Amino acid sequence: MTISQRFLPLLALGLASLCHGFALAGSSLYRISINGMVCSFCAQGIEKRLKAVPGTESVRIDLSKGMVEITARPGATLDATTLKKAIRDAGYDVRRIEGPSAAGSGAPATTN
Amino acid sequence: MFRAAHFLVVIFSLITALVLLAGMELSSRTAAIAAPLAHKGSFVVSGEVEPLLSSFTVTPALTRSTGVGPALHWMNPETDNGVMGDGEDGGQELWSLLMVTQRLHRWNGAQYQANLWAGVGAGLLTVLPGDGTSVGNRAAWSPWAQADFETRRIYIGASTRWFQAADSERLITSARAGVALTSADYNRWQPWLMLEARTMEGLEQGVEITPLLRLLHRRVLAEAGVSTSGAVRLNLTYTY
Repeated sequence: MTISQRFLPLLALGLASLCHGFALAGSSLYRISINGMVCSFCAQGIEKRLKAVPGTESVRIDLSKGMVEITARPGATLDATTLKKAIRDAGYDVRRIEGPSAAGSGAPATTN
Repeated sequence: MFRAAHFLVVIFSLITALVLLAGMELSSRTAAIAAPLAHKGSFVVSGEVEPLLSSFTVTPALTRSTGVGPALHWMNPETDNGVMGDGEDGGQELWSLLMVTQRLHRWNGAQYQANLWAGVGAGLLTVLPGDGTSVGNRAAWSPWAQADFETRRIYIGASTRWFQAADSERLITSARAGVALTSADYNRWQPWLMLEARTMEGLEQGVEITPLLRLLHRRVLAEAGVSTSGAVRLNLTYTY
């Protein structure tokens, strides 16, 4: 095996990580702890309402933790009051909102 | 007879509640729901098929706690000697109602959800005699109430519903308990084992016990079971 063959996978891995980093740059992440979200039947309503909030790119549900992660579109900022209203309209209560933080970075700021 | 049956349902509910509340301490991390109403702007479409009572309801949520929609209930009352299709008027019944569904209160906790529901429907009862000829329509109404509590692993609930029209009265009371067989995961189907005790005053005598398998995944809730009297029950609920 030549040296270039050995280093090719590493090079590809490095490039992929770089591209992933660029894709996340400019996106902000919000983590919301929700009271009452105990089943997927409940959570799908929350997901639908949050996806309808302008500026939302994606919504990820973690049922076991009762938590939702929202990624905003690059450059967009989501308003905590709007997020809370969307969740209340789905029938649930917000326990805590953390964010915004850069997607892929550390702990976001907290809003109760 | 009916009083004795109701008493049994109440006792069943209390025992179930005590057992499940005790177990909750151990398994509160991880819900089943048969909520009659979903999020604001949604439509809950629900169908239930069984020999004595089949239903089809559509409940659009006008607000997060109020829904208004049509409901059809087809009933096939038993006679005193247990024969179906021979009710008070000697036939099957179709209750066509416009229902108002109201969530009176919801308690949302980190590990649980509890609800109090009430509703009322108004419309028509059509009695179909055995020969299939309509004997006409009567004004009908139907109030109901439901209470439920659930975690990610446990469900308990009780409901009562009264159907009333001139010369026809049905009272359906049920208690349910269920346990999830797997942990709650948004991306996977979650199977549940449910147990229901039900009395259907005016439709059948005694208490009907039905074990059901429930499958839950996002917009879909499906249930199938066979009662102690051998009746097959199928429920399907979908949220748009």
